[in-house]
Amino acid sequence: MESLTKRTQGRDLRAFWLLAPTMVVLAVVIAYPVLRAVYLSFQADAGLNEATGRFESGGFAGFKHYLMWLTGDCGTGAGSCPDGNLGSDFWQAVAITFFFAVTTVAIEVLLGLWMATVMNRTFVGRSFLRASVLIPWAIPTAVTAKLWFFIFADNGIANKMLGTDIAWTTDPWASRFAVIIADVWKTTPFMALLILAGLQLIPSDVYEAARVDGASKWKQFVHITLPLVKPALMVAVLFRTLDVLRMYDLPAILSGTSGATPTSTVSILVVAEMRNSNFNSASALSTLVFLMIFAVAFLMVKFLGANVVRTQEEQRKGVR
Amino acid sequence: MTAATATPRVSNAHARNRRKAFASLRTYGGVALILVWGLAPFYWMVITAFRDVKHTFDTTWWPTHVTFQNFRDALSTDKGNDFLGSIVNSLLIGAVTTAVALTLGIFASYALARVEFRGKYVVSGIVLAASMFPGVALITPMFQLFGDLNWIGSYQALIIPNISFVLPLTVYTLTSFMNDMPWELEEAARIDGATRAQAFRLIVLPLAAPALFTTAILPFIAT
Repeated sequence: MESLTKRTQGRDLRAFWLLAPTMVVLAVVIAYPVLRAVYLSFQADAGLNEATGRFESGGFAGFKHYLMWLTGDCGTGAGSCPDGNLGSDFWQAVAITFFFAVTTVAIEVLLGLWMATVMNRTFVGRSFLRASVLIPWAIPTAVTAKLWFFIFADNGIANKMLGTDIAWTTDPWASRFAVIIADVWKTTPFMALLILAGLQLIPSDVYEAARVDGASKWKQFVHITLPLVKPALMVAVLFRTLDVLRMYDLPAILSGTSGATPTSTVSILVVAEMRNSNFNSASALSTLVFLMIFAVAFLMVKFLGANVVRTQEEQRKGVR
Repeated sequence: MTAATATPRVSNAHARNRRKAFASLRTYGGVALILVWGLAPFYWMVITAFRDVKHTFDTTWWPTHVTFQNFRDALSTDKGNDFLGSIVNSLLIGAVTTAVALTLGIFASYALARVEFRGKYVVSGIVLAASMFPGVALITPMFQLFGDLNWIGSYQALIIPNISFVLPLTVYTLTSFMNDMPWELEEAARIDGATRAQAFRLIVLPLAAPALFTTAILPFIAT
């Protein structure tokens, strides 16, 4: 009994030393700003105190900032925020962000799977293709956005090719699709690469056996490729979702940084609120975004099996 | 393809050849599509780069009003830009970030995949949560923190945040690879008298090399 607890302690200690460097780096750079933001989100704005005539820090504000975002309450009840106030843009920004997340991730998974299966075949110039597919991913996001900004300009190449006259940067739906197209172009290689890495781990004799048993190509894909590639795919989907829910640069450069454009995501709203020097309510918004993303990640890990952590028992049994 | 299995075994070589030709046609069709996908917008960027400033928004397919002035402007240092210096900085930061993130990531993912310990799910949750806060909101407090430390303008002020931004993805990708690695090899090494560290160095690391390489590309490019 005693040796058993000792062994557990030994393992705990070893895991501690293996994980400590990672946790320290994350703590310094992520935990401190996050905790500070949470603290600020409960502080009232500094302002002139009428009674004393002094400029004072605001003190504890309770859930005031949170209520402003969630219910549009600017002090006199729900929905009291005037039109120019960003508090009334919150739910639209949330809807747009989720719309982007669902559409881009879905398109990227389908395209990424297809690209990865093509790249996994043998053909002349395979390494050249793998390198060139990385170009979109290798270009910094800000440059990507500028590049598509040129393409989607009013008299740019996109309109010329389609023979249309679409205002890609101001029309609500056109600008949303411009963001989706640019994002899909940029991050599908990331998906494809991660899926390809998973595909390469599948031994070819599995397919051989399936072919001998008379399984069609489609059946092989559904019953062999998909289940075996699922762990790699789930990690890619999880991180893509977290990234796209925080998307900032693409919509900001393509159609502007104001909080009220048809493509303003929640991150754009955070920056717009900071530009108005409302750091406390911007912190409250950041915390809300964090909670929102946390909920999404939790659901994905819980119901889609996006979790990579497995016990040794499960690994031995080959649970995926 | 289902129909193909129904045909008698004595199917003639002719049909098989045709099927093969069709398959390779599909492969190369896919290859061509992917190439256009990756390179067409990039081609447009290169063409725009060669255009005279007044004609930036021209829409002819080939380069017109060709000039190297844009490149001269970008490379010249008299406007306060130092492009070549920036490239050196970027490469340095990218290389250090990748190396450190990968090293930390290997240890962390080995612990998550291979060591049984209490609080595993909590730790993995925390690592994941680190990439959930809006990045734009992290920058202001980070700036204040590094200002207090007198780090503004130093390499570590860029490298350390970069590491923390790429670390969650690195840890998760590597963990999912290590989960798929067969246990038996490590066990065999242990039975042959290798220590846990030796088993890790001689068995796990070489086997993980291709995965490590893929994982290395991601943070390098992301920074």
